[in-house]
Amino acid sequence: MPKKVNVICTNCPMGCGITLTVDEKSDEVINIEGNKCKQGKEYALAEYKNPVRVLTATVRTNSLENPLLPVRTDKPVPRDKMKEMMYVVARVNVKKPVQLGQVVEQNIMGMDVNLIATENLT
Amino acid sequence: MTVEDKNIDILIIGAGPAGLAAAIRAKEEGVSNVTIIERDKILGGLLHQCIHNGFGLWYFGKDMSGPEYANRFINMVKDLGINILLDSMVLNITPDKKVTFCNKNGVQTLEPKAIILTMGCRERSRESIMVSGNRPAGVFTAGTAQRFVNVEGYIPGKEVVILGSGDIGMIMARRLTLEGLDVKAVVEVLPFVGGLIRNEVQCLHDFDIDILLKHTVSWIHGKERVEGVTISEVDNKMIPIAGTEKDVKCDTLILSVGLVPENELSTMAGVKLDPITGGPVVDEYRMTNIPGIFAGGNVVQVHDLVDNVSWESEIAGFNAARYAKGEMFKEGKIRLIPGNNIRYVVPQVISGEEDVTVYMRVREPKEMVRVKIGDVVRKAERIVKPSSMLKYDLSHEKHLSKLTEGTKEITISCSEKGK
Repeated sequence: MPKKVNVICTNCPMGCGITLTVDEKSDEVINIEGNKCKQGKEYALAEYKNPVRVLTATVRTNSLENPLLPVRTDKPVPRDKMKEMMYVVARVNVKKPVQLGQVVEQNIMGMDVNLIATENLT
Repeated sequence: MTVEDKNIDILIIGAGPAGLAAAIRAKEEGVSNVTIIERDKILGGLLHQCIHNGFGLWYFGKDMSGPEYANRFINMVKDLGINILLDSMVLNITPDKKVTFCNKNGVQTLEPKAIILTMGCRERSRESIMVSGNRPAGVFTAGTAQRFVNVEGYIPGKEVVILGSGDIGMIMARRLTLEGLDVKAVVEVLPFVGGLIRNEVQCLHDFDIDILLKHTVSWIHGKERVEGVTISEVDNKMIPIAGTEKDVKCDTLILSVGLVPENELSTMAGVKLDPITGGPVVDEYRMTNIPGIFAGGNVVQVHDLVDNVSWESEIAGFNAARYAKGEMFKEGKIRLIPGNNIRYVVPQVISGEEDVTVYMRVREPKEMVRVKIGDVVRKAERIVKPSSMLKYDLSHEKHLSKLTEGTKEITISCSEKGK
């Protein structure tokens, strides 16, 4: 039995509602409709197969002035792993000084993704 | 900067993204003393608390967080030798451009040749939208909650309802969910989402957060602390419909109900404001009705992308530099009038003799429309939404030179095709 999966494209303000028809057994995408351009098709396929996002958060510091340091992942991570990753982020403590772009936590959850500072901590 | 160092060519009020971009552009024109005055202790303004990504996609062609975007500009400001006055609050600006400010050295007055207003905007609060009910603790604007969570390190509560679907509200829905809070719903009075589609998908849909369109918070419960809210459906006049009330338990209500340009100083200086944008009436040079006072960014019109804030403020910076060098500007003879389904147009006045980029917002979302700028530009758009600003380049050679001699007004309209 084929199933229907809906995604909304975020490439432009159109926000096309795209419907994928997927074979439930083989997980193969049989049809994509509702997209008004080519990028929409690629987006829908990626969103179905492996939706990824950059995770942004904060970590604790030893600075009284700036108790938090903003961080992000250095590459997009699977959407479904974001909540789990926050438990790792919550345990990170950094000591000043930290430079913008510096890795503050390596290889999170063994996923080959690093957490990097997005602000200087002096 | 010392008190003696008063020979300022251009004084920029506010060091957010607008002020930084304006200062850099002005300095690049070879003006010797460009000074930024800022009430905070650091440069960068609100960008420091906007730790999410999505900044700089257009300006730098790169997906950055707010602090990363700010730091690019802060580094340029420092490299160029722009003067910086931090922890200094401007108290008054007079129409003859005397600027009084206050800091730890006391009250002082500066007399710059040109001023650029880049004070940004302010959030609308519970009071400005008149939400009924008790007045307990636990009601925050989205920006305040964002500062608590991202900068100060405090969580505002445990169970949250968000009123308004502006971008900051949706971004806070995601942020609070990731920090372990229970975001119960985003409530929007209009029949459509207020913010960008990207935020609707990545902040709400990704985390299965409900969005209730055509609903509002009609009562806030709780004596000391918020204990819940009543959510009601609204009719076409946005009035709550009796009998549709539903009580939701929560300890925090976050408001994301719009932004208003911050123009108290502009008004003191005699700058004329546009009642729709809430910002100064400007010409294509981003000069206000007061010669030598310019404005750029969210103080002029509330933008949805910081990239446009930077670009618009560069226009103000470039022209303030020309003004400080004694150059003359062409007179603003033509008014741009918002017509059908157009809420506002910036700049409000143009000379018609130079290339200009016009910014505008529509009133209602519409598909398959044609935007007409007088008789000189017709542009088909697949979709227009109030949340996405429209931007068109008018060239003097191709468009404006075709205007009839003596044209005083150009009406801009957005109509469905065939009508």
